[in-house]
Amino acid sequence: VSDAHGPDRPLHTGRCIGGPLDGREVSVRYPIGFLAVDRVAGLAWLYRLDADGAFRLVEDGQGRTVRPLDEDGRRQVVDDPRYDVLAVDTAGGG
Amino acid sequence: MAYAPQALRWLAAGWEAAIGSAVLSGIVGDAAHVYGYHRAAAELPGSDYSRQMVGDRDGDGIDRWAADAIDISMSTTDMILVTRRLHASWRDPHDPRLDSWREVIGTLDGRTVIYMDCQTGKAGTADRSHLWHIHAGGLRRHAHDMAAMRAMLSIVVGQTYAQHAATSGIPATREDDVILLAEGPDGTLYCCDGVVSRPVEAAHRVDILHLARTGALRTAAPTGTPDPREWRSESGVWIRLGWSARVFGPPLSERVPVPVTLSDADRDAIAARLPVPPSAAAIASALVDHLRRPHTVPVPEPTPQ
Repeated sequence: VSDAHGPDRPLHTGRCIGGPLDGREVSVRYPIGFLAVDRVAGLAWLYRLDADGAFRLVEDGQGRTVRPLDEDGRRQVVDDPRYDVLAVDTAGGG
Repeated sequence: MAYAPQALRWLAAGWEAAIGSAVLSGIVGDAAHVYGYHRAAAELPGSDYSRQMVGDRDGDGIDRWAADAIDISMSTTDMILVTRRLHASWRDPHDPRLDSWREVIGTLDGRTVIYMDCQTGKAGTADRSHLWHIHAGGLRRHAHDMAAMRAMLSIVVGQTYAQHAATSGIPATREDDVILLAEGPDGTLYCCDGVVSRPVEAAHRVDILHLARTGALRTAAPTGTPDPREWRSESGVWIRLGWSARVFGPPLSERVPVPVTLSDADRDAIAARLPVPPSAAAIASALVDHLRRPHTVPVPEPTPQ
């Protein structure tokens, strides 16, 4: 979370590999990664920043990279201030 | 540790319901976040910028452990749409819906970031993460204020202030302190309060417009799309065209009392032209008859000493 006052926090920029943001460069505020959410489709993808500086999809325990947008899970991420939550932009933005 | 007030969660749910791509990104800041409204006042030094304004300070009725900011992520299209709505409200001195908020950050074009200070009116910028999320930080004493949340949501969904006011019970205009700036055919500017019109001297015109622009003087504005035959904007202030004494009230200078001496004939002539309700006329007639009758005043008997 952010605001305009005080020292700028560094952003973590990397290219996304896989999922709906494949090939897109994204800048986020937390070094762990982010959750990409398509609320209309009810789907979510968890990206984690790897050592190469790329955001890679994280698989769940069953090898799936796309997960249903479970409200409880989403709230957990929202309440965990180590992740950003981005809206998947079907129009091509981010 | 800071917590997320229910009022802000309510706002997030409403925002998500109204805007297809919107998704709550966060309310409470992380430990590395060392300043601002995403942290509780109790976690921050007294020198923090988010503890300085009236409404932000200890003693202003704040919840010292509440975070009072929200981040909502959206598609680029929706970011631009909602930021433009917020920007329009922020710029409108007659729209008080952001009065309980300190700051809003977003993007008007998908490429640059705009910071809007809702208390000082100053604009600035912030980091590029605001290309994909809108940040809104409230004055701390409004962290649980549902009126503030409803006001914000009404902007987000695209309501005008008048529409919001109509559904929230708030007077759309404060009739007692809103004036109408109107311009006569000769270019004279008038401040009209519904009763009289005060002509503005040419030398003071710029001052009046400045006061109106900054909100120090609350002036009326058109609702909906203004008709260019009726309204024009000057220096960001709306001016009603086509002033006339009959419609907007006579110029104040015509109402300055001038002492005059009336003869009885003048009084009778004026009285004869005044419409007098029958009941009032009857009372006056009876009173005159009474006064014209000879009166005797009883004299008390002297009291023996």
